[in-house]
Amino acid sequence: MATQALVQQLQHRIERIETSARVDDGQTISSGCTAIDRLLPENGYRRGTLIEWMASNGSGADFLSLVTAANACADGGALVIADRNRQFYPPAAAAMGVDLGNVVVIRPPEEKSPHDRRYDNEFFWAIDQALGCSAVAAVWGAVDQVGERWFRRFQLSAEASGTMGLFVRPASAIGQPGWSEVQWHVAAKRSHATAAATQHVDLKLARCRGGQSGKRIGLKIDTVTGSVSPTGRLGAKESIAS
Amino acid sequence: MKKRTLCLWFPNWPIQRLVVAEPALRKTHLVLFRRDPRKGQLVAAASPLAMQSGVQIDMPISEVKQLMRHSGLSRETYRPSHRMHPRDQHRQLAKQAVGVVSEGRTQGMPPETTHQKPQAENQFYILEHDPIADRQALEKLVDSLHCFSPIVGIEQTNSPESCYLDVTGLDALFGDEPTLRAKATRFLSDAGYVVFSAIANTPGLAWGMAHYHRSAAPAVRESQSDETLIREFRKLPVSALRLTDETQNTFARLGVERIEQLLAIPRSHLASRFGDEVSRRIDQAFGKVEEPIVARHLPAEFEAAQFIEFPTRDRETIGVVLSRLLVQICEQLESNQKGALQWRVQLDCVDAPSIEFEVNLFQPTATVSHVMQLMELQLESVLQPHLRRKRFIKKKPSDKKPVRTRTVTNILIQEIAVRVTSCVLLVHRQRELFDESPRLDKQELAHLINHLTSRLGQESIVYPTLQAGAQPEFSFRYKPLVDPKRMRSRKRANVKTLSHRLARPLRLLEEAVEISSDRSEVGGQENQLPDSFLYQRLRHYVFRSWGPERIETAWWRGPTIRRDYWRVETERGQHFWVYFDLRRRRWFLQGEF
Repeated sequence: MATQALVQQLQHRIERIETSARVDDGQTISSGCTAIDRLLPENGYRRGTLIEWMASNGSGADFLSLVTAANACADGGALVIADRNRQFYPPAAAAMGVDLGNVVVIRPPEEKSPHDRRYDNEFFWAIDQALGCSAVAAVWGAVDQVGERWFRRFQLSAEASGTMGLFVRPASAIGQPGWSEVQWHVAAKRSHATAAATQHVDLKLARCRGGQSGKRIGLKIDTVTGSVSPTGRLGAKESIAS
Repeated sequence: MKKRTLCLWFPNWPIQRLVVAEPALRKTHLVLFRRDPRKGQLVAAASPLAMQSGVQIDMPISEVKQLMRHSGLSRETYRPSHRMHPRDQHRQLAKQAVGVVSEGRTQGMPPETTHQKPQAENQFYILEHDPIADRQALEKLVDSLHCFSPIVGIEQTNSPESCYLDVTGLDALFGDEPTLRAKATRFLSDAGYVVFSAIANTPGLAWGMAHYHRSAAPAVRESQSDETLIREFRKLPVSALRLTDETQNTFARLGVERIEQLLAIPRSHLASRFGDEVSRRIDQAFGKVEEPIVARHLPAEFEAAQFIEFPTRDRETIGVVLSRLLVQICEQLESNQKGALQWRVQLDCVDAPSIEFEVNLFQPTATVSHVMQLMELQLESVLQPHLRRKRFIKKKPSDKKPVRTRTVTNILIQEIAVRVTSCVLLVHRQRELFDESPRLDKQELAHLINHLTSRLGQESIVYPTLQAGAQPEFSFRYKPLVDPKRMRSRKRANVKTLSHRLARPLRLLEEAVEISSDRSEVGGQENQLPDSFLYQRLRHYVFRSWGPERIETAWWRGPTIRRDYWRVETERGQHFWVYFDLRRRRWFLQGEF
């Protein structure tokens, strides 16, 4: 027991040293579902961190991450949408409860092709600037390819300002080095044929600083109410409306 | 001291404005039309030559064309003609100078331009009337009249053609009133304008005399006593009182033609029949009711320039000069409690054309460091093609100083000018004793937006607004956050609640991907949801689906678009948004959930 306590104490001290630059008011941001929050060391995400969702198309990761972004903006901070591929659909975000009056969208100009990689540096610079602004609560976006240096800069900017970086990345980016605090692997799951209008998702905590990685949870997203609830052994009582 | 007002009338202002911009039009048959929702295109204004040919105001344009054709005139067309905004048409007209289209060319053939004086009498132009441009041009012209009087205003009507100058006590500066009037009219006629003018005790009297009395003509220079003026005014037609067309028509039907006839009617009768309009106009004309001139104020000019005696190529020097100029302007702005929204910088070069750039801001500011940061960003991108590194070689090998390198430009900069082109009053806010949440610091957000816009451009930093309409791709719009023309601040979006919170996908493809294939059709029924489809080089097998949701666009949006939308779940559990185009009879994938 003494060894365990010592290890824990050392863990806390290392964490304090690692995150000494972070602007943190001690509050945590809910993911919108208590079952997900319980997998995280502080029952939620901390401000000034980067979170990644590694997901395939149409797997519901956009929804799960945007719910977190909307929760982060509850205190009045702005939400910056990094829309590299010009695919963000504002009416869907508005239907989810995101205040569009508080949204700033960064997108390539019309004359530039979304697939033009020469624009990447400009785009990452813009994300970095937004992450470094304390008036921004969260930066949300789909980021396909991002270099390690840029990722590190994102992390430092986010820590300095207390802004959250929420990135949805393709499943092909799994295994690439990153500086995120939390990384989720999101896999779409087939629903039961008799189930109501729901979207099933399998969530795996691939990386979590100060937490135990490798945990899994099954979720179902009600497409009518937008509520997220766990499936399987965690029980329905832990479901919460997003 | 008695008040004195000079009224200047620019007859047929919409035509005058165009003729001054393009003198070659002076002797052409120029017709401006307006669009009437019921009657189509009607004549709004016409040049004197066109009026002589029989063109009348409110005449349909089709009749004008016939009239002109019978008169043997050929129509000159702009390219593209009716599709362009009238302001652009007029601009193009101004650019065309004397290059005209040869007479009798066939329609659709490219114009054959000649650089000879146009055969003016044989041509006619038909353009769309632009009242906004007319007003803007008149305002600009009137602003230039501040050299004659500090109080200058435009008449308060929908289509103004006159302006008022308060010349009380100014006769001593110009000698006498007739000289003042003559100088003002000469000033305008030198610029190409035809102007009628009159000086009287009230704006109403001056307006009536300028519009209807023979003494208002530019060549006439005579002074009249107040009594003579009023006597002459009473003989003028009723319309000299600035009455509405409806009231004038009523008086015409009643046989009341001149003002003296109108004054003979008891006031009580006038009030019961016409309300207070006629009585008010009479009282304004005779000075019984005060009529102030709605003065135009010249915008305060915030600008600074520095002439560099020895033109420089040094990038650092350019930055230093620019920051000095900024400090000067920001001090001026602060003393006026104003903040700039738009800056314009001009770099005059000795051996190259001038370089100009603009810096637009999200929120007004007079902070030097912030503006300088943004200007440096712009300057860097503007000068980028001209920049190179220069190495300063040591004069002596024994020199221990390190070798210096400086960034220099290929061009010689001789003068740098900075100007504020748009500014507003600054709103100051008391800061909280105990700092509020940094998230609520709107100034910080404004700095970020300015910073991003300076580098990426206005079109890249935008905010979304929802639009009415069923078609998903047109149900929203992006607007730039930094836009000098943006007058209103952002409002909280009023969201029409959808029946399902996740009824729409968060990712909408820019162009829907067609997923129809022979293999997807089942039993030859093309409108049946496909069993599988190919998307991003993967075959997706449809497991479940929800729908359809029928979407039809309104008739006023052009050809009707009818679609049946489905949310589909694939065998792998992925959710996509697909639709069946009822017109094209094809299946498309448009979104990912």
